[in-house]
Amino acid sequence: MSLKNEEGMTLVMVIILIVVGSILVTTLLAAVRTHMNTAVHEESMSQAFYAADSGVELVRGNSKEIFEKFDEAEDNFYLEEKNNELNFHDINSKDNIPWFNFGDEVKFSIKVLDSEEIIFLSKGKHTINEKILKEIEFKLVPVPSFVNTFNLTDRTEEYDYEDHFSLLGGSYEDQIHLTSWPDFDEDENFWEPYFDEELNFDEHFENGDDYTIDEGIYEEYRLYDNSLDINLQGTNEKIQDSIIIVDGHININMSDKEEIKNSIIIVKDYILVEGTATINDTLLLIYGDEIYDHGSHTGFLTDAGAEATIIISEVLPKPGFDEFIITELGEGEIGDLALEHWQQK
Amino acid sequence: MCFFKKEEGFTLLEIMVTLVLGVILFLAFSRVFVFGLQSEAYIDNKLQAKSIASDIVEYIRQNRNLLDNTEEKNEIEWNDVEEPFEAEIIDKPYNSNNHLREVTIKIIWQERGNEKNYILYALLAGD
Repeated sequence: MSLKNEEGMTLVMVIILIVVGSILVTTLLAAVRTHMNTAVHEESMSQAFYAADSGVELVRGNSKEIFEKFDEAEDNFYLEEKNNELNFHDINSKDNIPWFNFGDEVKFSIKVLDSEEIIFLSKGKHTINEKILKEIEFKLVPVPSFVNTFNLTDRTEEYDYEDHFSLLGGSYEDQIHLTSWPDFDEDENFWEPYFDEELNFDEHFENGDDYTIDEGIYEEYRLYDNSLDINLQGTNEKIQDSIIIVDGHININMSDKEEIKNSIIIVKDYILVEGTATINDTLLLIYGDEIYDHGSHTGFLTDAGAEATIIISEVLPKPGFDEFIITELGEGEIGDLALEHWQQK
Repeated sequence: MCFFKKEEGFTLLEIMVTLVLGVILFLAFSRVFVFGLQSEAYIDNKLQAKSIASDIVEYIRQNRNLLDNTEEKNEIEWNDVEEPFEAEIIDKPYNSNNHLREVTIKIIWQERGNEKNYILYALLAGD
């Protein structure tokens, strides 16, 4: 057999073409198949995650009802809905797990992991791929609350409070979840500085200067005896769970990236806002004889874009005062409940 | 005067047969290639649609006032989607639970004249 003999080359070339083509096609199909499996897996993971998260939302949406019935619950009890009522049940068999179904092929279950600490486990499944299961652990926490009731009806005509409220998106009744509330000093006619080391309510500024807050604060009580600039623009930081009392005016300069949240700001003169301040679940309380003469007073309301409750009063509102009543929740009363320690398992 | 060694070379018939078989194989393989590329495009779109749907759920979670607890069926307008995608968002009560809304997010796109979609379901507590 000579190497120079080229007879039968067609067959050889065709075989080479088939082999090379087959390798390319097989590789491509394998890649497509892998990607397709990845996409299907991703889809199932996403559906399962949002199913598990829906369990968290179910507890969030029905937190009071669930909290009230929690006495019946023990570890490993499941939450079940029957006749539009949520109840806890001891489920011994895996087959009897009460799944909440919704959408197409999505379901979740909610189990009590720790009845002492009120910790739940929400499991989500996408039924197309039952093996993919997502679990979220979370805790239901009663928040110590003050229910603040604002009685302003007799002054509505005079100061058009409705406009203020509608602009700010707040309501006459609101709950602000602070574990402390400043006492009122009748002699000084002002809110007393309230120091509580455990809660870090420890900032007290009394040297007559103007002040600036240019970084986030959390769980702090601050009293300023002059005007205050809250300049958080560009910091992406928050003022949260804090009480700020200012015996002057406040200039707020922040964007929608920063936030004032679940706080109380009591200010004597006025508040001016530059930019679009994001103020949520916060009480802005303005008092003073001359606030209505201030030309820019109404300006801040339209710019604020806030979800806050604002109280404007000629005199300093205080506990027991007609316009501003603070009621602490009584024993056995359920205030707001929060979900904490959210973690994906 | 011969510079080239005498080579027998391929016959016309061999070349023709090779070409014909090559074309047949090429056509067969190219269909598979096209299928592969189309599948990749579909997977890519589907993953993008999934990402868009997740973003929408998170946005609604941050803006729960978009959910209308009073309506039997509420359509949320959503125009913040880039071509070729469109979003249809509907929320309705979950069973008879007054506090929960069943949100259905359907991301739609066109591929070679056919409508494709990705649907994400989530329950969200109202404002």
